[in-house]
Amino acid sequence: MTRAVTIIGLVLTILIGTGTYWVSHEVERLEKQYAQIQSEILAEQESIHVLQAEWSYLNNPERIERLSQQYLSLAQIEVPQMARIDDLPEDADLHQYRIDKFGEAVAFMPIPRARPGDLMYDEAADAMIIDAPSVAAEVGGAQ
Amino acid sequence: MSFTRFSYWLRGDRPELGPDQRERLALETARNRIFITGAMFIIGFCWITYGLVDASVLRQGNEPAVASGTDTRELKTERADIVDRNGMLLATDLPTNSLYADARVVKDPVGSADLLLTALPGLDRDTLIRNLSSRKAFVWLRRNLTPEQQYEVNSLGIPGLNFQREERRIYPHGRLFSHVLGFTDIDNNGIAGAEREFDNELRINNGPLELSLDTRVQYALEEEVATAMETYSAVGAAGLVMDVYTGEVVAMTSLPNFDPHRPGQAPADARFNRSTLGVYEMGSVFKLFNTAIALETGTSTLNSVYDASEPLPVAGFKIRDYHAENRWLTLPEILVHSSNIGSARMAMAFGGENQRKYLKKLGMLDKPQIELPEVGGPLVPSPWREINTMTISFGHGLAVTPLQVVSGISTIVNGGIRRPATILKQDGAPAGERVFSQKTSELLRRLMRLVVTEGSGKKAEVAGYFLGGKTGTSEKLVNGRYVKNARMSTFVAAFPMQDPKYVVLVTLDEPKGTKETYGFATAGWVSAPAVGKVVTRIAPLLGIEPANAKAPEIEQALQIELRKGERKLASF
Repeated sequence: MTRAVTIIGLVLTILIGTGTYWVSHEVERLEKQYAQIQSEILAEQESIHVLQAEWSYLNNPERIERLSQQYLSLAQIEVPQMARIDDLPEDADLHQYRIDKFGEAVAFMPIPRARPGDLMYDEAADAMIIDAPSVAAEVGGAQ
Repeated sequence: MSFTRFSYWLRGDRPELGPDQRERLALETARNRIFITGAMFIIGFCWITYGLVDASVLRQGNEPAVASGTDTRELKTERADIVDRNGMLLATDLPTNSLYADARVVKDPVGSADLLLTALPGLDRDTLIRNLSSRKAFVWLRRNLTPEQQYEVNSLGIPGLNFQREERRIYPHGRLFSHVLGFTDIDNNGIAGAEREFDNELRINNGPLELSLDTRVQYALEEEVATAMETYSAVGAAGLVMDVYTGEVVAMTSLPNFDPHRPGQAPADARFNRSTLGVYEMGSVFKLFNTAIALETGTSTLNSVYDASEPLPVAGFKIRDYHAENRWLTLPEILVHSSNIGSARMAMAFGGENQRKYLKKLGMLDKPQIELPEVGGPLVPSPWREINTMTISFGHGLAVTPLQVVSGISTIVNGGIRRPATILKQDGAPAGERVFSQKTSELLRRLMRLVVTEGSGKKAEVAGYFLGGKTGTSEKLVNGRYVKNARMSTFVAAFPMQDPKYVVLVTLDEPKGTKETYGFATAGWVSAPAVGKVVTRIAPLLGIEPANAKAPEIEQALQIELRKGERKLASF
């Protein structure tokens, strides 16, 4: 009886001791890892910071202007080049509509000029509607 | 109670009893004491046990589910960043390494110095040897090395040399904001510009400092002003763009400028902020203030006529007109032809007292308010005589900073409300103080537009943006005398005039005429075109749409009659 208690006690002591040691070791390991991640985050933040400074430096208007002159054929926008959408003439393509066979207004998109043999573009648009139900007669068809 | 009795009582002994009883008493006392001590220990252990269970087993209400790192570090630079109104970085701290020596460890100062010079040839050999043999524990050799230099020095392997991590202030846009931002010294203390003004805030570092400036506008302004300065061989120039409703300075430049990384190498003239520190007599630009005061006080109307047929004698000299018309002029004509005589007569009508009161309200008589340490106080005449009233009406005898002029013009065109100038980004218009009525402001807008369509500001005209402004050319005072060919040529404009949003000012210091300007170096020839170019470039950036001049609402907003002035009969 006494011996059993002693053995159980001994085993428990060893178990608890090992457990405690393992936990403390694990905590130490995690803390080390945590500190490392922290310093990595700090290093990342620092590189972000440096990159932000570089980004601002690369965005220097003087540099952008130089690059634009070198690689783009763009110039300063002149006032007459600016217009509002309302300033466009009434009969501009954007403002043209036609009525499709469902009786709905459809805007013309500017499309390349038709070559000989091509369908006219309203025909082409109609041809793209597959299996159109014949409601055209009821609604009144294209106007 | 005697002392002996007290000591018996303290021991729980009673000498009057028999030895048996005394023994029993002593035993009883001992038992009681052991019992009390034991009870105290039990209470103590229970308390500790409770504490342990409470801390380790029981869950506290405000206990976080996940352990929080006590050392969650965040990158904190020594000084906060400075950004423009769109968040573009204007100033930041970057880590660098500086080289120092522990001279106690250095073995061979001369040999080490020679070796070090191969990597850093810029150092002075004698100073280096003196430093290395100083036996001090810490002596700087070179601050802020580049990574390459650091690598080279490191690979020399000289004992006693170490690197100290430091932070260095970097301005990614270089010279572009030199006067606004200012600069810091080698230990990162702000010693000029916004760096100095906000030194404490930047040190506390609660996120970036947001300025009201716009990098793109600043660049456009600086480039155009620099071009004008070069074309007309001016010795200096200043440019400002201000939001009339918030008082925000959107761009501010002063040329020549300097590299904020090396302010020490720049001459004092380049470090001088002409926009806020320089005070100048602004010339005819002041006629706008004069006209506004005249209209506000009611001593003049748009139909008032003044005699400008001959020079006006006053206190021993004569006020003359640069573009003399030699006839009677209406109020709009006085502005269009920039008549000094007419302006002086207008000023006499409302008097020196009114002039002083309104100029004070406009902030022309005090130091300008702006968050920069470099501000110049105006040179105000004292006493304020009649002749001062007359000359100030056309901008002589009162020297102010360009910033004050821009603030004043903003006040005139924004409906008459003065708001303090600021370089900090504002959230809406701050509270202001009314100086002029809405009506005066509207009349002045028309008059300013008229100066550009009919008067001296024609060269500033940009189709679609409806500039209105006023030229001002003044001769510079050198040692108390006006110098004929040293001028300050200023053009100040607001746009778009039917609903002014921004004021632009360009001042050229001592411009010289060119063949293209037929030798003229007056503001209408040199500064006005620069303002026009600035507006063409910045208006799209600031989101201002060009409008059609034929639009009825614009015509109505800007319509003004330019009638020829005729002499009024005495009986009238």
